[in-house]
Amino acid sequence: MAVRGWSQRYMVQAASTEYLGVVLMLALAFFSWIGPTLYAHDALAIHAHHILSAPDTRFPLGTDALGRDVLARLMRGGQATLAIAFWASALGLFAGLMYGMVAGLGPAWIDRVLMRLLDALLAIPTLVLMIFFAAIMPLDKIGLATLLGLVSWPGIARLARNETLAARDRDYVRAARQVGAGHFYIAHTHILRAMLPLVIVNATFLMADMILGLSGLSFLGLGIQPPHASWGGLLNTGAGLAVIGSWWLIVFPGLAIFLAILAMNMLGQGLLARLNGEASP
Amino acid sequence: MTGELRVEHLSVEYVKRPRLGHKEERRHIAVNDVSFALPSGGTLGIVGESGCGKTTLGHAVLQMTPVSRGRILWDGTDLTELRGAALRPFRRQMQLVFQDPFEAMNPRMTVDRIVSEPLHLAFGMARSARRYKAAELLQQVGLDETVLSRYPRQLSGGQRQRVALARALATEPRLLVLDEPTSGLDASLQARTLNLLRDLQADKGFSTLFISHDLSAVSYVAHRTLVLFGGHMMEQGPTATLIRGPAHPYTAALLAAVPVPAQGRATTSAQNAIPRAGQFASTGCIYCPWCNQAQSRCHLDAPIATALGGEHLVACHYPLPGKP
Repeated sequence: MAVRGWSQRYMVQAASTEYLGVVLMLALAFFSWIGPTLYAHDALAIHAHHILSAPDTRFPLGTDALGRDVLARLMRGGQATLAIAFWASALGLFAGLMYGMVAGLGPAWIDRVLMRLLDALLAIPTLVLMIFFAAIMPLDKIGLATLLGLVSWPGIARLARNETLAARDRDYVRAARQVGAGHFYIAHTHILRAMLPLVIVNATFLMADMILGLSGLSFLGLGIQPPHASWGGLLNTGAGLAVIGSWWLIVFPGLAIFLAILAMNMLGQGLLARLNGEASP
Repeated sequence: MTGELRVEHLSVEYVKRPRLGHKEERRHIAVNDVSFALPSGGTLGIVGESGCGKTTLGHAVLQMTPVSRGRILWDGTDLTELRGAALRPFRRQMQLVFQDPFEAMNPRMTVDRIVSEPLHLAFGMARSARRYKAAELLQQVGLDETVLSRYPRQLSGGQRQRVALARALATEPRLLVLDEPTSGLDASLQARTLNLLRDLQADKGFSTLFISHDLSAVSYVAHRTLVLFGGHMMEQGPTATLIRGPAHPYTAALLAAVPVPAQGRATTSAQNAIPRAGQFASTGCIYCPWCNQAQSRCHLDAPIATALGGEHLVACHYPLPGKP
């Protein structure tokens, strides 16, 4: 009885991990998109008499060096950060799945060529690659999402290729071929279906990576350009001033990035635990 | 289009590439020089113990595994020469019921989708028509419409077997390869499945390649039987002849191993227990290390299939005297 009670409690905890992640993510999205309509201050409005003022009742999270409200900028920055990370993940996921399924379903020589190409790409550090591209051309939001998406797909591609190889010789795939199914049908009906749970889990981790990657780029000054806000950009401009006492300029953007990554990781971990325990209801 | 199958000198060989530091490539011959003919509407039983190559033989006939040597003639067309799109119309005419029906169904699809997949792929049937036809197919194998919305894991073993059969029948095949259709079913369900198969065959007129380790099941449905050992054909002929008077010592050993209920006798003595396939003789007859009739000649040259009169073929130097 004691063992059973423990495992039941464990199941409840495992199940609540992803719910907590979803709730946290929804809260951050609500904060970023609905927040500005409920909040009095504008992200770009300059309050010349309130430069670098500490959090108080008028400016709950203080103001920056130009007298702009930090809370309003955090909301607008959240929009940019989360939207870019989302679209970058979607692009990376799509590209990775396509590449992986072509490698897994195609003839052996295509697989070999595509996988060696992937190894070569993986040998280049992602951040170096991103800095290189971001430095040679100024990027808008769409450009940033594309760049992040294009450097993020190799991991997904490898996963998709392995899952495809595992699924392609299943009896139900052979049965489909026997009634005339082609590669395209097999890929979108059977293989995608077989790897969907694992793909969803990895998509959440990918999104966490994208938030971190974008924040890193913005921190280096290569992300969203001023005066527009992003969480990483806020950290960048705040870093120099924090050392002279304006702690609110880095604590709140840092907290936002931390919570967003935590939410996606909790969602991913929770789903993964559920996936591994699939046998138990 | 009559639907006659002729298999001539079929061999399936798996070659492993030499590994680093090893010079020669390793070969495994799963099926070795097997020939048979299956007339339209007939049933050929393929019998042998596990690992003897009977599943590989079935897959090779359906072009699901590459053939190394030999020809597979379907109404006179050699299937081994066809590739890709040219093969597709032939694939629909020959269907396989997999050994494990659960593995042959996508666990994330409902029975409706599983059975209507061939209708969509082979005939391009519209969704509503597919559902109607799927229900009709299920009815033919003795299932009602309520299973349509279930997932494979919600079905019993017997139901899965029937769903697999319904799916195989969806393309209106002329040849059905049944891979161990009765294994994993209890005795009463086995009998019902065999009766169902006989009725369906009488109704639709397809030919059947019935692969099984169970000689009693084969004798119930097959007109002709082929005995396979280590990928080699040992004996083939009309089922009744084989059962009454086996000419090959291996067939005799298989028959002796069939449990006979209600007589209370021990199935076999240790002496003529069924040998394990594994290490085969490199020269001579492949069966001779286990054969209790083997003589010195058997160890030296391999016997060639010879006719014992009529359509009864045996690959043995010293066939047992058959009873007429």
